[in-house]
Amino acid sequence: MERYPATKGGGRGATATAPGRARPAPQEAESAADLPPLLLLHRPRALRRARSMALPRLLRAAAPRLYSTVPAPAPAPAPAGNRPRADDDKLLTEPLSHPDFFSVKELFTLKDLFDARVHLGHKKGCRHRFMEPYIFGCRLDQDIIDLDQTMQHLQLALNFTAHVAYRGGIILFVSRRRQFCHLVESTARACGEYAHTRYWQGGLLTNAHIQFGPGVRLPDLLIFLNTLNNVFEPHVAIRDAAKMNIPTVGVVDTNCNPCLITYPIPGNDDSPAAVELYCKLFRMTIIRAKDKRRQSEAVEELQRKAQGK
Amino acid sequence: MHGSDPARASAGAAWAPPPGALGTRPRTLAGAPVPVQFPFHFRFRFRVRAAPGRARGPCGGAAMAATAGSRTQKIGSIFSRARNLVRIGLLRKPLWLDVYAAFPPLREPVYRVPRPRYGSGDPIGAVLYREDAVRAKFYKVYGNGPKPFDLTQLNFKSTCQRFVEKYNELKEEGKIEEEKLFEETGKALLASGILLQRRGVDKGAAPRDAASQPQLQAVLGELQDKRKDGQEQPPELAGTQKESPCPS
Repeated sequence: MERYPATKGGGRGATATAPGRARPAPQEAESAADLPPLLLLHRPRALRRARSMALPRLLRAAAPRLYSTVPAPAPAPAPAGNRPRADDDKLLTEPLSHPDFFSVKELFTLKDLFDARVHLGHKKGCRHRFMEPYIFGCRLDQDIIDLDQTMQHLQLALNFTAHVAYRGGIILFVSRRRQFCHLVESTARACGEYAHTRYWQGGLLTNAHIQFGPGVRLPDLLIFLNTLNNVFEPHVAIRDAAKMNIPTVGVVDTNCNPCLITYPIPGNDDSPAAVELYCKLFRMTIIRAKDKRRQSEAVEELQRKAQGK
Repeated sequence: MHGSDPARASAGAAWAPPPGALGTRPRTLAGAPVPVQFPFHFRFRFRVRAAPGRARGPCGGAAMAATAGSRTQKIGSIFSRARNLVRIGLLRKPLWLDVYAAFPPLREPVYRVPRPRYGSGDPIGAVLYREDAVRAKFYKVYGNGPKPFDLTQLNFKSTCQRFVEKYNELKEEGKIEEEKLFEETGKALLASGILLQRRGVDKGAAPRDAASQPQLQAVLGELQDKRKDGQEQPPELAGTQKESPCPS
């Protein structure tokens, strides 16, 4: 079954790059039982204005993470639908105990990033305010991205990607640059994952069950090679992924907003050398993770057979 | 979303929120309820999808774990929302939750309102080196330099870079005075084979002008004479034109 149907006409819609292996069938049927909205708060305007001035900001400043400091209530009893499988648990929890299970740090060095011109940002006037922490300095009005921070962020992002691929997650590459559209699609095809480098229809993630039918499995990770769309605005998929609780990994340039991206990678997204480097790194990471999964499963099988005998 | 799903048979059954779903209003440490923050009009919408009656495969009879979603991307991060929903029991644990918990990002991806920065202060400083003074003078005097930049080579050294390195060498030797260092570096580079032409100033341009002006004057004078003379001009002009070789 195709998760993302082929383009319907004129290049619109998601491109389907079906992987070689079979995907598991959806495990539960979809029957929507819409609940009435739980909380609907409406305050009169005067009160809202008076309150909105001082109090919320003060409280927010005084206790920014109030909700997270409240001790967690006892977890609800595990629903019967969860089927804990002992062997899967070990397979899944063991990689998390290693700081770098997939040796992602070996894949790149600072010199590689420098040679691929990852440190080159846009001009000073294009700078986004939230990118200021990631910028090393400004050389003749051109922003230079701090490659030490980029190394850290890239390592975290690749590690996360590897773990998601290891657990059999669906990864969707997104980029709206025509220059790199083919490269991104071929990278996705090489990994056995998916790509979407065309016009993003409004409800692809948020209205998926209508557009693609019930029982669609949404991607577990979105990788943005370019977070802006054709008109230099943040790509809609960033907001939609945040809405659907899907983690994102994205290359953010100096004119991008890194707020909603789970694992941002501050770096150049305009030079072909840089984008080729990113594609190569993601491809190697995902293939490595999948190979490791297959290896671990094979080892488990052998052990089980040995025990069984 | 609303009514397009065929399997809504159990929608009419009485629904009670699972314990702890609504939750008590969060309270401060002193016990007073926290007033609801701006914006006041947000709403939580939990869309619970349960599949009780649809028997499919081995898991038909058992009550399936509900899947909910909270589409409020401006409140908290995906991790906080997903973790809380899982803890309540409304959401089946997503694939990435454990991985995020084990390897969190350096900054929690919380939404922030993008506000412009006011004032003249620039938090990012300029990147300048001591050699930039030499480079600035080089470009002012010599223009772009004779050799174009070849950025395809990673370890390419431009004329300006060679100049700067030579300048630093001579400075370290210390035999030459500071005011003359610049000229001495130019001479040193000339000795090693790099020709530097000063940008658009007298030495190069003046002799050409001085040479061409008498030529122009001579030609003009001839034309005037020939006009006075009459019709003897064309063959002579043609002759003179053929004789003078093109300097290209």
